Amino acid sequence: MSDRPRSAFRGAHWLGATGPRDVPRDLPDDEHGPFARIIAGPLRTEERLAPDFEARLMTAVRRDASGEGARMTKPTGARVSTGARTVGVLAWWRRPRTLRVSPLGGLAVAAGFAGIVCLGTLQSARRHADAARGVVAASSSGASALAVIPATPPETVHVVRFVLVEPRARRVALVGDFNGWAPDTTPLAASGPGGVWTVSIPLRPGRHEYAFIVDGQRWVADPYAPGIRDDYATESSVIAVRGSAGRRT
Amino acid sequence: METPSDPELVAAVLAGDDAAFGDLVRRYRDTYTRFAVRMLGSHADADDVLQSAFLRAYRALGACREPARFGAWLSQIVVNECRTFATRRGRRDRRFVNDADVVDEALALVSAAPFTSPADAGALREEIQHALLRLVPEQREAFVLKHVEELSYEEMAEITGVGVSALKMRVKRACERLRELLEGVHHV
Repeated sequence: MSDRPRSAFRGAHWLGATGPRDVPRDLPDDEHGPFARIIAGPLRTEERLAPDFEARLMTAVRRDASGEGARMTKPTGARVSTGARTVGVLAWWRRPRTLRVSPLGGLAVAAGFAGIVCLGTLQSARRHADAARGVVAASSSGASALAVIPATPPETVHVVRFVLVEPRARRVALVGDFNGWAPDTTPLAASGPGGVWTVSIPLRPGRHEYAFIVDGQRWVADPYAPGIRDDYATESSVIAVRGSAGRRT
Repeated sequence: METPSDPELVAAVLAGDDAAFGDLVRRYRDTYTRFAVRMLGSHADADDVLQSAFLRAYRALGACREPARFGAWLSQIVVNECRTFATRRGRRDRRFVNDADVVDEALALVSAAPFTSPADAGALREEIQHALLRLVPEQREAFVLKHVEELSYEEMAEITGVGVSALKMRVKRACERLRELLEGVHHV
């Protein structure tokens, strides 16, 4: 622990000056001053980021300068954001990504169901592999292409399959207005190697908001779906299941 | 060789020298790392937030009207990024974490192993950090800037855009809450 003495330079550095300020530092001015100094001491330990922080950032900067990054901020049909915030390109590709296939018809289109599921899974895995190689593949080719699904008849049950690629997750749950945002009612199942998690659920036609909970704590909005922020600025995703056309948007 | 000033580096970046931005990153990265880790409680989250903040700064560098005060400008971006992330995550925590249970758990750990030696410093820091994360983000931000980063209220006001009186109140409330969480356990 490095309990550094109070330093005029610290604040000056925050504000970009190159030397000590010539103004006096104000001292803690309430009855909590001594208490605050005691508990702040351990918190002054210096912290370091990962050694590759700068390399990753500068890669993103160079990509941005070349125009790729600018495009990445406004991808067609995809979002470069998470439930937390818009992130840099490299931060983004390390994020889990989600592909959804919906809606699926009932048993009458069972063959199509299997094919579509297979397509979704394979697409997810390929995109993840691309991302791991640093190939930023955010485009409409993923989720949008998968949305081209044979129309289902009206009144059929729309089964929406959610696929999340998150290799490091120990468990994943789907939450949304359709399950009361309960984190323990709709778990995703690990589907083969590579951290592909899936769950298929019936959804009524209409607009639904959802997100994923990874390891019981981490909130992940769908980077490929329209987002919405609630009153507390938490971002969730939106899926619209059309009853007649049988497509999700 | 004389170290280039912030305005010189900013001008170089705007002229297309991306490497100059690397110099700015190295100049300020460590300054903000501790703040981000304290605000977010996680190196991984701090990494992501700072990546986002620096990239945002790069993209908006042309809007930095006073390159001589690049640090102040960048500080505002970093604080805003951390604030946004902490606020959003706070909402999620409220959805899925029972605060009372977490605090009780932390206090039980502390009570079971009082921190009396330097070897306990890491654990002590973690417990204080844990309590810090129980604060609402605006109080946490004010406390960290004031007592961890040791900024003056005037500096804090410039960075956060919040008035001095409000900042003092936030720091006071933060201390009161931290005292509730920690007093009687560490006898501070």
